[in-house]
Amino acid sequence: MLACPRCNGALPEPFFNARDLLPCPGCKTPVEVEVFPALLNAPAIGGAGEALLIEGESSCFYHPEKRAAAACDSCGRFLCALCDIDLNGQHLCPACLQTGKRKGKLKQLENRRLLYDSLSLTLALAPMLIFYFTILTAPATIYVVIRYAKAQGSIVGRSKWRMVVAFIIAVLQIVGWIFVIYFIVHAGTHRGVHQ
Amino acid sequence: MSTATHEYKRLAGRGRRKQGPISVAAAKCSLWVGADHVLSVDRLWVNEDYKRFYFRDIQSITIEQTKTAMFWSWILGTLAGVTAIFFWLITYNMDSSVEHPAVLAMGGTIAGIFLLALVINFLRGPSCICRLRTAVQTEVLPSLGRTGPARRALAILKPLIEQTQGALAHGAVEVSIAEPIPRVEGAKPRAPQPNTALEVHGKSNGLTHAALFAMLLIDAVAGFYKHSHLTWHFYFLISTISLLAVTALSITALVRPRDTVVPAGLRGLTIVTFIFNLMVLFALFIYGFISRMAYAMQHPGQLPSHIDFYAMPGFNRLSLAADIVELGLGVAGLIVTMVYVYRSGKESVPRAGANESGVTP
Repeated sequence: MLACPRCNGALPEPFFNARDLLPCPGCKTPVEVEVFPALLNAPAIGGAGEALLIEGESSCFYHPEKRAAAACDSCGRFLCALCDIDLNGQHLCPACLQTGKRKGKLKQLENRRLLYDSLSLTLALAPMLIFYFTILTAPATIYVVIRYAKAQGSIVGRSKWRMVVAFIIAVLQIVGWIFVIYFIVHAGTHRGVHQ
Repeated sequence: MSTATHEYKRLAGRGRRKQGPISVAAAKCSLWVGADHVLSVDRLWVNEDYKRFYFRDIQSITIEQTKTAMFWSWILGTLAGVTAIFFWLITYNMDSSVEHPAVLAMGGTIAGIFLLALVINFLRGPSCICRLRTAVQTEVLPSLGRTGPARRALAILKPLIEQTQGALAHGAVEVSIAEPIPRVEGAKPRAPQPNTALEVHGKSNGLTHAALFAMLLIDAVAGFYKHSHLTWHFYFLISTISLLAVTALSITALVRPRDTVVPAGLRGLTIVTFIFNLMVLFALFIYGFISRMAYAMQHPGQLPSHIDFYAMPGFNRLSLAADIVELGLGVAGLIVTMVYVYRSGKESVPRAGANESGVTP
């Protein structure tokens, strides 16, 4: 049932929940295996939905010939056993599940996030290697910081210090450019006066 | 455990998940515990990818101890030692006009960096691969890449999973193995699980190993010939080609048998050869660097036309020692390879009169 991850040879029963690294009988690699009751459960078989028997009985919104087994917790439509999706105790229809995932309402289904705090910090720091780019990226950084200040960050939660640092750096870059432009213009006019 | 958040609590350990064999960047991985699931977070540049493993679905957690940490300890220790010895040798035989403290300080810094990395690697403990299995997938958890954090995480997760699933009765797995699992109607029957490693993995034909050790022998013989004929400049061409060939062959011999069974002895000899070859390449690099530096100090403003390694202090002795080691490794490697090829050939040929089960009537 459970095989050694290295040699794929079957592991004998004494290996399970031994709370210690034991050498595999096949390849001698030290292995520790912790098994749980879910391992012994047979694969869950989904219901196909029961056919309607009595006239006037509630039927599934998507399959009118099937008997309703639950109502969608989001839209309230009746669902048969086939359409009823159990999401951590919530009953949802396929359409609500899809909409919820697309709009980010179902946090359990969220599998990717763009981190605007990291993006703003990268945008502020990376162009400093070739500093000419900062004339463009500094305003872009400020835009990202202001536009996405209240956007959701990491799902595991972290502070917004990156955004604050990015904002400060971007402001300093802009101030620096203002000084550079001022000196160029000032030097040009000064030279013109002397000539 | 580190920082706590509103919903998730971080589990100890850090690691990286490579995106492919040659990847520009690897995702930073961490593991978090939520109310009813474990959350695996892969952070790459400005994106985070999440995977949830609900406590009710987790079938098993496996920790497989690996030799990666030990391998790196050997590499780092060797590099630290070789660097220290080389710099000491150079300063020991160096002309008094050259500044010894500066060279020693540089050598000490390089060796110190290797030593610091070695200490950190040692303190992190043995390496491992931790896998989490559910009914539909087996996920490697790179953040639990050392046995210490992996076992600490397991100690935290086990009670939480058992709280959801209940504890497994003693002997339940054994009973379950004896009873066939009910099949889903219409599903194809799965192939039977193999029982031994040899049934799954093929056998290496030993050709790469034989070529590796033969190349090592050729280099050793050429080296010995060079010691008796110092004007034989053709040696450097042979030596360079053989060093590069040995590097390529040892990498091939170590990487290719992932799906084959190679005896531990032969694999060990290949690893030793690979490390030894790295040391030789590193030594040549250091000698080249030092010789150029010494030349620049003695002849400011001039560039050396070529590097005569044999004119350098201590090189002859080290070269002879390297040739002896090469000869030993080459001979031992060829013998072990031949024994392995002979044995595997004998095992693969069925005995006359043996039936399908391999029992002679």
